[in-house]
Amino acid sequence: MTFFIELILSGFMNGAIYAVLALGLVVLYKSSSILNFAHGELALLGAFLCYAAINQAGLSIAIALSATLLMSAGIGLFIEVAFLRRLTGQPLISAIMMTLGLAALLRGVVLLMWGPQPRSFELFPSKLLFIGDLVVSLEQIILLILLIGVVLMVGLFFKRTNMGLAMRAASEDHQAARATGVNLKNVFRLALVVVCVTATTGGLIISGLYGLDFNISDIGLKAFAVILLGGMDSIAGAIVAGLLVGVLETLAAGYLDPFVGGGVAEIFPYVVLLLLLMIRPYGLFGLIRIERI
Amino acid sequence: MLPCGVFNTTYEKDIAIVRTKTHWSMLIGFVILVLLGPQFLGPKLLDILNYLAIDLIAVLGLNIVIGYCGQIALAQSAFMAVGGYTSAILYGELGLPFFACLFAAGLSSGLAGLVFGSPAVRIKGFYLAMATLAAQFIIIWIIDHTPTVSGGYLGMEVGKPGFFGVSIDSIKAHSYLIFPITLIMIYLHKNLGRSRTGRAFMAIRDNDIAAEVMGVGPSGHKLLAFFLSAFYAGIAGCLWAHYVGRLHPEAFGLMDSIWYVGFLVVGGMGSTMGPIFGTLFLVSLTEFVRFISPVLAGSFPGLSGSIFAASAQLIFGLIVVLFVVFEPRGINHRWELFKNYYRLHPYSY
Repeated sequence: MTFFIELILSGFMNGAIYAVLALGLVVLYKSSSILNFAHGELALLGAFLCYAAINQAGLSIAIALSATLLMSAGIGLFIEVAFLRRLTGQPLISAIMMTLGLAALLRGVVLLMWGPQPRSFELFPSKLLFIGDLVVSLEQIILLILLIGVVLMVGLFFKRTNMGLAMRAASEDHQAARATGVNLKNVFRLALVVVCVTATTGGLIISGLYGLDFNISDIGLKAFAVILLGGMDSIAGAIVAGLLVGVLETLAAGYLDPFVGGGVAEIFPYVVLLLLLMIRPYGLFGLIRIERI
Repeated sequence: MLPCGVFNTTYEKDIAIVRTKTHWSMLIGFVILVLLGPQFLGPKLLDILNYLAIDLIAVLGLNIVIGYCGQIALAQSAFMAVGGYTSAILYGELGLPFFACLFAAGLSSGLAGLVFGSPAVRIKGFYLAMATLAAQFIIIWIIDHTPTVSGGYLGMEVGKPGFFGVSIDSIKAHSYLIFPITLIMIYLHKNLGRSRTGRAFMAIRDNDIAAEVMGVGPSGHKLLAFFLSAFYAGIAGCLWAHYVGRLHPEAFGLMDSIWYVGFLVVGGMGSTMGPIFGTLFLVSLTEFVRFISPVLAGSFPGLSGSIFAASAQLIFGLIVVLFVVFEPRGINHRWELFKNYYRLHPYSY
């Protein structure tokens, strides 16, 4: 039983990371109907920037964290102005190839700057807490609170502010939104900033928990399963599905790994993704699109 | 734009590949060049050309599903893995003749393409991109976790091909195996584009609902496109496996699949020349990066081992992004413009 509860807890942790990353993907998809294949690479870049700020520039953790988030916002603006803005009216494969090319570019940059070797990365004090039979690390609890904070902030932003309303309007119909006075350029810019900041947050948390490794960019692709499960255009869906996929993945890995020789967690989100696409492509909370010529 | 003095008076003339005497002489000259080339080129250059030809087959396959049929497929290298492993197992364990293995590789890979392409019947766009992405990871994971069949993460040895008493063991001999197969695949690809099936693919690409109204069944044709695309990948994978002589699941990563789509985007989709231009351009660029990376290593001390991987990815990403921004129709479009220009030369139109 303790094993089960520990799995659930660490599943929640993974799920919260998925939720933050999926949030960024959904925000971009909602406002510009582009799916960002470079999400994991943005997370990777953010984590390495923070690592450089702490270990190479010698900043304190608080300053380094805020500097990293600011820098990632700047990167988001740059990507919007330089690349994504040109995608209006282009076929879908262009949008896909653009973000895939961006992913390769970012990987190359990180590899050139920091090399491929994994590094240890201490963001928060690690201390184990014992609650009855359970073992929980303090790190996990801090990060979980942080994640819930980010998720709540983005959720409230979309529900309560004018800009959030404008972004939701833009996601419905670009022309109609423009006609009612929404500045689409600002919407796209803001969407890209949200994308980069959420990706960086996700990257920081993964690297804080598991160490800084080149493979953390894989999580950007795994988050696709999450947004599909939640529905590509639902923020609440992204959060619920993120937690769900995280917990299920950890449970599947915990109970199935001994039978197939490990590695279930690597593949689990993709299996979910494929099954979902065949059964219910619009997800739990997404809109069902009706198509006309 | 046709060459001066060439008119299409019949349908056969309209779809003809070779139209003038100059075309014929250029074609024959090119085939002779390809067949004689291995005699005169050094092993280093031939090695590059062999890989280029194999890549070209995979990219041609990708063009069937992306360029002709408008479906997104991001799992080409996983389908290559299926073909490679099938051929290696059939050839090594069962001792079937090489060409039977080659065909079986294409077939098995095609079936995998059929299975993982089946979501295309219901979904399209980004959803389909994600489904094929999942296929990439699932196929490689299965290969990794069936060590009794595939050797798992240890990889497996692949026998050198031989047929009719000829053993293919040198780079030059491999060129004589790979080049003719590549030429045949290019011809078949071109033929597909001008057949009824190819036109049906294009109708689905342009608007699948309209295609259905005109009597082109989208589901069957989408599945066929996935099958054919994966068939090409299987052939390429088989040639690759026997050429390298060693198979490993990590040789067929997501990055390789993305590179193939990149070749296609840079070259231009929906034509036969597009994949050829794209593969030529990006492979020669990669080789150039490989050539200058020792020089670069001096300015980035501490990562001499991965300098090539890093700079190749950087440049690949940059080129693809620039092409999407400035020339989304690829090199082939520029080539067509150039052809129109020189055919009209003294006049502007």
